[in-house]
Amino acid sequence: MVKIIALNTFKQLIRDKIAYSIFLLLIFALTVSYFAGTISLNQQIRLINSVMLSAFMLSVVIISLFIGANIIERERRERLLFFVLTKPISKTDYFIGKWLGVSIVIFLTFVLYVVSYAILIKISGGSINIFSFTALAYVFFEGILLTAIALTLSVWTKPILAIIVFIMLYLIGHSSSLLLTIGEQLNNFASYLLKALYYLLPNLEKFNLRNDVNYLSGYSNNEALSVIAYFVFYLILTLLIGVRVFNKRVFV
Amino acid sequence: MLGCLIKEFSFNDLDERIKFLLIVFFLIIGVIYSQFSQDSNKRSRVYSATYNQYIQPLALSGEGITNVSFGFKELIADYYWLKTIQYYGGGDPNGKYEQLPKLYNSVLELSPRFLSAYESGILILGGEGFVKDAINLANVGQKNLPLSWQIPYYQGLIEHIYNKNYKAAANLFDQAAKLPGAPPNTKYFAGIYYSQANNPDIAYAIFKTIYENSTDPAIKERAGNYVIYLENVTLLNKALTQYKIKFSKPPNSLSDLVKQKIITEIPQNPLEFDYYYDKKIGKVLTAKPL
Repeated sequence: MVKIIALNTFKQLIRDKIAYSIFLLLIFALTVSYFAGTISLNQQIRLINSVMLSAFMLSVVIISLFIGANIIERERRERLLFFVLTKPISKTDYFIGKWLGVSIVIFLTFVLYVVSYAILIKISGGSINIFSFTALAYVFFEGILLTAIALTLSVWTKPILAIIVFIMLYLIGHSSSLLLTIGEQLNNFASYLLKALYYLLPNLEKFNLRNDVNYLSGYSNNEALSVIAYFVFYLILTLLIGVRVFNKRVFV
Repeated sequence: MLGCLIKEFSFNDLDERIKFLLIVFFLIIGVIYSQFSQDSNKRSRVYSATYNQYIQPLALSGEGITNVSFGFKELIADYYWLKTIQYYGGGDPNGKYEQLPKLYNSVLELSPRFLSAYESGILILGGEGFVKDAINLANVGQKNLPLSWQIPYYQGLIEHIYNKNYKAAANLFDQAAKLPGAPPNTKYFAGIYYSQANNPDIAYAIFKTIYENSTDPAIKERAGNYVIYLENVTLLNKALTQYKIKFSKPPNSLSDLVKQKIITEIPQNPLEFDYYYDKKIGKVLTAKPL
């Protein structure tokens, strides 16, 4: 059942022409990284790395924010949700299916970026850097997690509030080390509170290899495994909370 | 007749789609023309003498930007890098490039391992008169990229060209030569600077090592000449000491050593200059006094 809902969600998103905006952003990134590279004093590969990785990150945020945080609410508004839930489909299957459908879109975007990145690097005369692909894969993981967070927020509260909380979580998630720095300058209670927030809130910098791609010459398997473990734990936790909230919610 | 033609070819008779395309086409022409016209008219603007025609680019502190970069640190660093290139390449009408050190600092605080930015920063800042900033940048670079030979190498050049501090230059070249990937002539330059800094013993040791180990025939020959030159300087200084003991004063010129039969002849300098004899102290120096 999950598979059917996921595929339907995916088809619905493709019909919504979301692919066009992603494709436009990709074309923009390709153009900027290629042409800006020519005026960068031989730093073309460096620019391609940072622009392409940032563009992919931006695409992923757009997908999870504008689709993830809206998809269930839209079906509620269009009364489709009530129709679907009268069928023998559990709310859990529906929620997971929706998440999976958006994740397939993110996966396709990932494939699109991997291919265009590799082609652009080849055209620019550079050599393929394995760490760039690792960084792209990490952005893909982050996107899947962000979608789960957005879906959970969307079933917990109203769409506009969900979007605001999502943006806040995204910003905190990418600067959570600041929580520790600020905590060190405060009294004991505040310090513990900030430390607790640091460990509980999603630390999205764990998936950020984008800033190191140009300099890395080695990356330990242990670190990669700990990032994947963090992703799996946090994803399951978010989906569990999301499913629980969705099951408890009464739609009118 | 014209009225008939217009009537025959009435705008209303055209297909809706063609009508729309025609309107779009004329609007695009209008947009292009007005842009072109504005661009050419802009050149004829007359400014009052007090009008500030030039706005320096704004360089924010790297630390501040890092805190609000939300994971896009390298992208912002690259934006500042392009901005720095544009600023320097575009030319400051006042010729001062006041924001250049700040822009380089912003780029490198955001991206502390960006080697090319250190390289160009050290050379360009030094060349534009920001020698202190160039050296500060190099010091930061040495901390962040301790294995890069390029940073001490370029810093050595700045010490030589702008500060005339040969000893510092020699130390930096010596340091660069020990780092992986350094070009073979780095050690050779260190030797030259030690010689320039009147440090003949270190210079001699360096040139001797290069002479014995270099595989580049040109460097080997040049290092060999320096070895002979420094041996000659040592020989002349020994002769000068003997002269001073014998006559209780230094000679007026090196030829006095031959006249007084302390040495049979002044050894030929394999390098293309005369020996630097300092009459006041009665010593041959390895470099011209500053």
